[in-house]
Amino acid sequence: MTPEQASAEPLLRVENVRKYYPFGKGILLARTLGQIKAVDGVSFSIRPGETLGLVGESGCGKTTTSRLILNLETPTAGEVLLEGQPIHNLKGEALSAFRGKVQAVFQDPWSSLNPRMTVGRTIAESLIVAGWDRSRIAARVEELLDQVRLEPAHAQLYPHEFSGGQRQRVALAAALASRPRLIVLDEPISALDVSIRAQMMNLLKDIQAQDNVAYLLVAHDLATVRHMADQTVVMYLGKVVEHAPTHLLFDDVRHPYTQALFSAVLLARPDQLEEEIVLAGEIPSPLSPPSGCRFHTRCPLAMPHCSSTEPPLREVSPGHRVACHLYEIDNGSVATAGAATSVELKPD
Amino acid sequence: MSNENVLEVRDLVTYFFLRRGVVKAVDGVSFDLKRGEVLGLVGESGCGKSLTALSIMRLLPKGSARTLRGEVRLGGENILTRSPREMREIRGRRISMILQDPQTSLNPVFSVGEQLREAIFRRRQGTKAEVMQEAVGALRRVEIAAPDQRIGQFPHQLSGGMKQRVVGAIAISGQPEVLIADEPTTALDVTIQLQYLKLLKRLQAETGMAILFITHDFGVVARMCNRVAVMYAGRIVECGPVAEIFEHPSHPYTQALIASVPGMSGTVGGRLTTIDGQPPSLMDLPAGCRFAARCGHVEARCRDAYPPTVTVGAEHKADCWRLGGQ
Repeated sequence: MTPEQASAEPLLRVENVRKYYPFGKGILLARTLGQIKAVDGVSFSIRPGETLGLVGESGCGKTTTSRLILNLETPTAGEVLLEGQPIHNLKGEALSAFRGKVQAVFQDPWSSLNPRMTVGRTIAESLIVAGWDRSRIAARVEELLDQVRLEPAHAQLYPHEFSGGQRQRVALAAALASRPRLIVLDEPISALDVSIRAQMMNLLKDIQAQDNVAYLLVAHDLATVRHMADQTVVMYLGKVVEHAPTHLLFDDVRHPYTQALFSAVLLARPDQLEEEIVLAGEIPSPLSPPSGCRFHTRCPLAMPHCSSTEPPLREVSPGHRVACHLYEIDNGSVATAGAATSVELKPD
Repeated sequence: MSNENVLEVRDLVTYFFLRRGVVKAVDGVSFDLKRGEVLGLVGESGCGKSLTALSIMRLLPKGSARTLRGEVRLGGENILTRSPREMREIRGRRISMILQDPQTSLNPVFSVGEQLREAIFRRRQGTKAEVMQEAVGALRRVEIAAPDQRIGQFPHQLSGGMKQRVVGAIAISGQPEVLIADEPTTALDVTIQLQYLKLLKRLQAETGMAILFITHDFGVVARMCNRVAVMYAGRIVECGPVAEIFEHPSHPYTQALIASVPGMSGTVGGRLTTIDGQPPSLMDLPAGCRFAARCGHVEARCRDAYPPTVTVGAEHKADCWRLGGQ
């Protein structure tokens, strides 16, 4: 990240968004039994040309968060702002303009491309909608194919004629067509073969350097996030548990859940096996999340009041925010993870 | 046959015969699985690793796929020549398999207990109560909490990790000598994956069974395996002890594959090593080395003939001309 980026006005601001889905019983005389809190008070911001990595296991709300940002879901509470503008009450032309500025690339390149459309047409789709004339579209499609390292002749072909890696590049070209400011990358490489992943990651970085586009990278693979992201947000059951610039987070993991997640990353080096933290049990159901800290049922360092009081997300060192009672300021000093087990906590 | 090998695969050839042509999915695969070891079989999708496993189990998709040649020696005898009836006795008791997706390996309309009981019944007769007790014991062995309640539940009431544990319990209920695990943790979350790998390790230590562990993830290999075989376009290109392969990969494909995975240490950012191009079509394989078109060290002889298997260290072999083949 360059200094100008650090001082720049955020491109996207997510402010305390919540998304609750009601669930009920019955079709006729349906009753609402409760709410699934898929996303429960998430805030972060992305600057132009920056990559934010959103990490967590299934059911943690990372996909719902990305759908809120893409304006495919309306939040129950909170706001998402793009360039200072709230996005969820946009209509008509303003909404079309928003769609041009925020694009997405999804995980599975087999289902995200229309099999009956040539690749050229798929890439041109958003330009046709935007009312470009034909000759300009053809030139732009060629430019985009070149940008994602495909041949101009590929525009005439259909998706089934491409490999997985090539299809994902077509999806990226289609996302780039309208010159977006932000691209939501939802697990962009996890469906690709190992030998193709590195190509895609390099390409994404090159395009960011050229176009100054920001990425929201939704991923479960920490090594990918470490390689790609400038800042990293870790989610667990709808909440942010840790948020920091990537280099800070990866050097000094604070939250016990993030520590377990890091320990569960299987390093491709047999000699680097560290002490591993195996979490007991499964991810609780979001239908009835645990009280207090949502992680306390699986936390190896849980304390009595973790089950009753929810820890707020607070800054434990400059830029590094953690939601955990272990880091409560105690006599003016911040407890560290190692010492935390022996720290005596004042009763709440 | 040496006594320490429980499974020996020799020159296994399985092709798909399609109207469009012949897909040479497994094209001369040979390896040994020793008693009590975990052998990793690594490769990208379409390299033939799963089809190798299905050929060993003789569970090839009906119709187009056929094993043409080779031997699969389980405890010294070639099981490829056994009748389908004899094969049914071998599967589950001497060799069993765990598949990637627990959702599809369990029958949704039978309870966990009924599916376990079926596996136990095939091995031994007994009263219903005895078999039920053994089924509860099997669930306890795979660390399922409250097995007495879980036994009456249906697959949709279990989480993915728990379903995969049930599949594991069924697979080992016959006390097989060989377990083939085909990407058993790919569908699981990372923290659950670690739990499952530890469970497999523990079960292996308890029973002494050998595991053929199929995966595309080098991290899983590092955590699980004693030895690893790397497959590319239908053939094993390199095989050796895990530490050797990670520290001194000999085949250019293995080298590139290991280098292209982003790590958790070292400098952030920077460019990753890539492997350009794609694997060759299995319907139209080159005459020489199958990796030649993507290899950075390619020479003329690589394109002319398939390289010999060269021994590069203790138990470490690779198929490459540059390693001193004649």
